[in-house]
Amino acid sequence: MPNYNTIIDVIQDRSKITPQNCAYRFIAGNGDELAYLNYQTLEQVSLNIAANIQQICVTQEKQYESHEQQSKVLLLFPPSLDFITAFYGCLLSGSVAVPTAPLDFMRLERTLPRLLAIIKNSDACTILTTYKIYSQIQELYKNIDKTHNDIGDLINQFKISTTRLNWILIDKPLSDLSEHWQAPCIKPSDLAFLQYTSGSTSMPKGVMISHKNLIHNLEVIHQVAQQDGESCFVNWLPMYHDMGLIGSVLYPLYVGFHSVQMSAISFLKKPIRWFEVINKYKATITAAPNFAYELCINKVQIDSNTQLDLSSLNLVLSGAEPIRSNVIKVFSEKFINIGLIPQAILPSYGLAESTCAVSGNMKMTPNMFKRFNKLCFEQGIINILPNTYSEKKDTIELISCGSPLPSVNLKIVDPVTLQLSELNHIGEIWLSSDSVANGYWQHTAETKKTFNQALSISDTSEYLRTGDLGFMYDGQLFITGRLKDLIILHGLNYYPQDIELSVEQSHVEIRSGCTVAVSIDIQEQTELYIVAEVRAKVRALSDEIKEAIRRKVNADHNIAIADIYLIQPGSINKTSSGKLQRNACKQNIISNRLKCI
Amino acid sequence: MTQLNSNHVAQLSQQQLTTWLVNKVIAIAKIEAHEIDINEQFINYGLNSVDAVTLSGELEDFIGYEIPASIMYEFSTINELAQHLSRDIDSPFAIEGEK
Repeated sequence: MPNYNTIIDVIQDRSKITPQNCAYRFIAGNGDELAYLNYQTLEQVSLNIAANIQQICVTQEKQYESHEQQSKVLLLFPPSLDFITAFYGCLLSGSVAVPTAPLDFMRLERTLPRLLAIIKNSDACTILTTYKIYSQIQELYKNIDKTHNDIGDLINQFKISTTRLNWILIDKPLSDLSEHWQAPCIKPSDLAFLQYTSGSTSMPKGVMISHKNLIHNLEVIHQVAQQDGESCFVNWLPMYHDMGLIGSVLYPLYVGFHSVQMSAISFLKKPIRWFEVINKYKATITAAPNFAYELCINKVQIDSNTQLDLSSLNLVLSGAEPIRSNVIKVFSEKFINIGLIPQAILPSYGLAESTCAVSGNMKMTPNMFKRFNKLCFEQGIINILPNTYSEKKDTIELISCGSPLPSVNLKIVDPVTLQLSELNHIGEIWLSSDSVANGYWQHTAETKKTFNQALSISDTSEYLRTGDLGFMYDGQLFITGRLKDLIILHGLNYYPQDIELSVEQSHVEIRSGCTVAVSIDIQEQTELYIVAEVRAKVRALSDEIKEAIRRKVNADHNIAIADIYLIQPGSINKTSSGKLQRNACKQNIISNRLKCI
Repeated sequence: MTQLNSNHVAQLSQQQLTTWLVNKVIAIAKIEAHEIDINEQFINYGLNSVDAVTLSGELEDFIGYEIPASIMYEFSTINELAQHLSRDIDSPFAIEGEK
């Protein structure tokens, strides 16, 4: 691709070169097309939003001397093309976009604290939103007195923190100010947006993504993904999420192909809609986390007389979540008869701290599935087994997340000595490249710990500590888990997911996917603790269940358990998409807040 | 595309809706029928928000019209939801004796 300096160059280039080509569509749950933008309208609409932002809150600088000088603008949108024009509007105004998850008015106690914390941390001066959301928020303010105490307090805090902000409602016809728009003096090192990571609710961390980070990541994605002007991306991932934003909104713009958006809710309600939209628009590329592929395996039923055809897809990315090799296998087997090309399904690895993508392959190859000796694995050593090796008990199967993308410097580092790991050893993944962000906005200590790591005197690069564990084999990156979840007992490494699987298999009354294994240090001794949800009303069996867990974990891993907590169904800590929160669970053990049966 | 079949807007009774919901919760929570309490919160059967949204989609297919994805938060037990949906259907058709 040409040498772009900023995303602003890309937007203007698209509108100049292919003004009439389709840029984005938005599809409703019933398949109707709700919105359409070609590159020319995209630029016009975004430019006018930019001019409106500039009029309210952007002081024009000859040059921004620090990130503080750039205004921060919060984006609060339902899934829609409004999000996209608002996002580009921010960039075209020279300000920094701050995408956020839309407020769930049914569950304010869950969604409002995070939004509040982001408003505080980001120093946003303006909120871009829709008339509908603005009215819903005004409605909340009106009814504060009638609201439940805790939520009333939250709403009050929100009201106070938003009174100093400017609101721009982009679907109320905005005044046409496009004539007054001034091209901002943006350098590649200036910020494009803050990507807030899931982290804790009380302290959300905004990764500072610069234009240079974005252009670099888009270029290296392109060198491997190799889409062209005829391609089409179908996406339902939220656009405030890095994979949704960079993969499905910015990457298509960068190359100049068309992107079809739908909402996550519309996918979750009826997963087959994802396939229907792919089929209708002959999508070539799509992306989703592991859980979505699993959901399709369980929920999508294909009729024998179906017209669905997925053969247009040449890239079906799995990322943003640990990838189970079995899910990839079963997904490709189940949908091969509607044209899905097994080689197109590709695991990838990435994180917001490195803009988005870190590794991935062009095509799936059989050598991406590898089996390793389990005993060596526990010692952090990689010992590969031939694919013909049949003794399942002693093996671990992993799927590779591809090779590091071009110009990404990836190192496997011993997390204790902070020196390069020995060959064929598992270690923490460290990264250095132009995709790696400058740090977390207004979190100096966290930034220093995570982003500014030196490796050795001879290596002058600064590295990003990803917190992910893995190893390189045969040029391929394998991810084994999170460093903070790793359980180290007597010098051996255990991954919680392996122990949790044994616990689940030990007794029928234990609920699958609702078990956590953590290590806790007590008086310089590290010990293993298990928390497991059991089915309702089995208190009488608790001794029997605990005994079964101890026996199975000992048989599978040869380790003893310090204590076991059997808890009520639905009470284990999980994120909204169902991921286990092991650390929160650990805190509940320590502070004795588990709902034991 | 998946269209909701308008002929399928059946007049489901509260009992039919309850039975359907009980079976779904049994399948998701992997518990026995006798362990279900229709006045228990969905969340206490381990339903997460992805489950809640997918279930609202399946429920649409069953009742034949669109409902909000957040319906299981608005009506947070089997009983409340079944009652709400049976009323919802009864009113436009004014069916007698279907309470």
